[in-house]
Amino acid sequence: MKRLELAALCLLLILVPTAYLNALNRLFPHSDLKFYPGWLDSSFQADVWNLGYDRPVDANMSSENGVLKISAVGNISSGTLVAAQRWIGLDFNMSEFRYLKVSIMTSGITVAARIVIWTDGGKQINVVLLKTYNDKDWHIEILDVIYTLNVLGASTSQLSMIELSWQQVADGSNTTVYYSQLSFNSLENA
Amino acid sequence: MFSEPAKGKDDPPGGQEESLLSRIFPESVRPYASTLLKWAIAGFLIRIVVMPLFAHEDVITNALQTYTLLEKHQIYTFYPPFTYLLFASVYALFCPFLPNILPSGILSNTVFWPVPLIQVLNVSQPGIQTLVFVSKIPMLVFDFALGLLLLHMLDDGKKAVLAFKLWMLCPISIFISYFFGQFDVIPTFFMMLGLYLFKTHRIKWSMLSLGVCAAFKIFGLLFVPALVLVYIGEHRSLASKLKHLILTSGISLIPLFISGIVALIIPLYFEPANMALLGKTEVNGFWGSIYYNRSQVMNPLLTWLTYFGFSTNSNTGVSSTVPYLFVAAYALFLFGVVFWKKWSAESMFMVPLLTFYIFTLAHPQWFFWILPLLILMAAEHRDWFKLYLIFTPLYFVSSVFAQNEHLTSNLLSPTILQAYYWPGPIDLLNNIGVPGNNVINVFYSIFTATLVMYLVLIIKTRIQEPR
Repeated sequence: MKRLELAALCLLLILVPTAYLNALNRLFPHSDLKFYPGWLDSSFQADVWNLGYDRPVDANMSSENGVLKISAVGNISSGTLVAAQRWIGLDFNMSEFRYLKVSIMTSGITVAARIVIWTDGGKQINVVLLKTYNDKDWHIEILDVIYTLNVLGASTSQLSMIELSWQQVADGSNTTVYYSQLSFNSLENA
Repeated sequence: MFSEPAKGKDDPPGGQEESLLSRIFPESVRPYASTLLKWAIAGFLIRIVVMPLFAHEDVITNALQTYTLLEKHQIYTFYPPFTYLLFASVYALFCPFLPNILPSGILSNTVFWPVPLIQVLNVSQPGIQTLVFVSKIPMLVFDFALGLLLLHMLDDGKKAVLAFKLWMLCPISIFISYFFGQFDVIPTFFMMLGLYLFKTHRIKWSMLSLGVCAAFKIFGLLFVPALVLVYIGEHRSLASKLKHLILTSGISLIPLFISGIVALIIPLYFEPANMALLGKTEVNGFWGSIYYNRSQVMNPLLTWLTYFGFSTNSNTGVSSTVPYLFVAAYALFLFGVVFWKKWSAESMFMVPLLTFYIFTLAHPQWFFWILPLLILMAAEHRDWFKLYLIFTPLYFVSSVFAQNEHLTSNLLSPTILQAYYWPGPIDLLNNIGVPGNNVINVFYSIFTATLVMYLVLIIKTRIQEPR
């Protein structure tokens, strides 16, 4: 085979896959899947969120510009839990809007963001997310709550309470965790 | 397949300058250059058709981790660093043609859980088939390089051509690389290159090639001890033996050393582990400064070294001291290399691999490593060819079907999203009242017997052949 024929063959071997991929994209079009909120809390009003903690700690909760801030000052021992809890206004179908979506930012690696789902009239308390982050950037977590509750062996009945909280991982001080744009979503074609 | 090429049809006329292609092929197969080209084109077309249609979740996971390197300049350690660097180069080269879904997700720090959600979200995106196609280009390159290497490994031209044809149409290699989307062809190429270099008495280059193999998947180091033992056995003095032992072993470790340096230089990606799921499902990532790999605390820099190790399946239940059967078999093999001098180079690669497969629960893609060797043997002897014909369907029924929908119907999800929810072969058997897992186990047992048969025949027939 001469060099010119070889060059033509190489060109063909590039053109054929390109044409094939274009044809496939037309033959099997993909429609984007999007999350659609069925329940949303973007303001974190103080009258629906309550502050709680498991040991004496100087804790505080506030909301500004759609961001929930849960903090504690002073020395904080490892294992300390500080939580914002919401009991009311949770009447939505969790089987349909099963994808929890929330933005999280922590003050450091010594604290873990913690999300708890209470079901079965409050009898089952399920920690569905417990994570540390090594930066001070926002992180978007999208979690299939029904799948997670099944993995945990928990009831997937009506949501009783949602808890946005943090857990001190190592002794530290002045801990803050921010939450924003909390929603429960369905996943559908765009 | 066994027919003679048409006399004179493919032979270059006397006095005509050799073409470029003919210079790539070894002399023994140059008369068959035209035939080889036709088979190469056929093999290429088969692969091109399959490449964008199918992919396992691992392809998406690998792409996500590679984009983390590209976009955030941080590296995972789930796969060896060389893997991420290679795929990052490919994605960077083809980036104008690739969809933006993965890079934008990485940059926005968005994390999805569980894995089925990640898979469904990504394979539903426009342009996903282009991403899947590009992700397999490295496999395509090394696949054909391996085919070319096979031509150089048999002295008989007709047998070499047969080996090439078998490679072009090898169902298992096509499945693993282009349906499944695993990159085992890359370390396997370097393994075979190591074998070729050893056979042509270039021991140092052989060790280096095996080291590069190990830098992609650690199994490359399996062959080093036996080859080194044979090599130093050719030297008389103890000092010379020691010198060459250190030299050759050291050369094989250079790529791993470089890989380790790369992992130290590039910042590790801090993947947060969801500790709410520890004990319930597999947990990977950092909890504070502690790293978890498959729910076990581990040094993150050692993850890729230990992941591709062997799993033990022997336990007496009486004592905490148990024999690792693969280790015992491997030690027996090394004893055989020391005490029985005449081993062929191929057998020194095949025996460790066969014992590995027999005594561990190997992932389906790990069987890729031995494929070129089985094909070389199939091309050389009709009996080996018959055994290869038995091996191939048994692999699919026992190893692939055992993964149920994960390695069958789900693979089509980049093309037809609903395929992600289709049942697998075990489900179908269970639905008609047949215990699917039991059926698979029966076939896996027969498959293991096939591997044992290979081992027995190799030891019987190869041990007396000159190296």
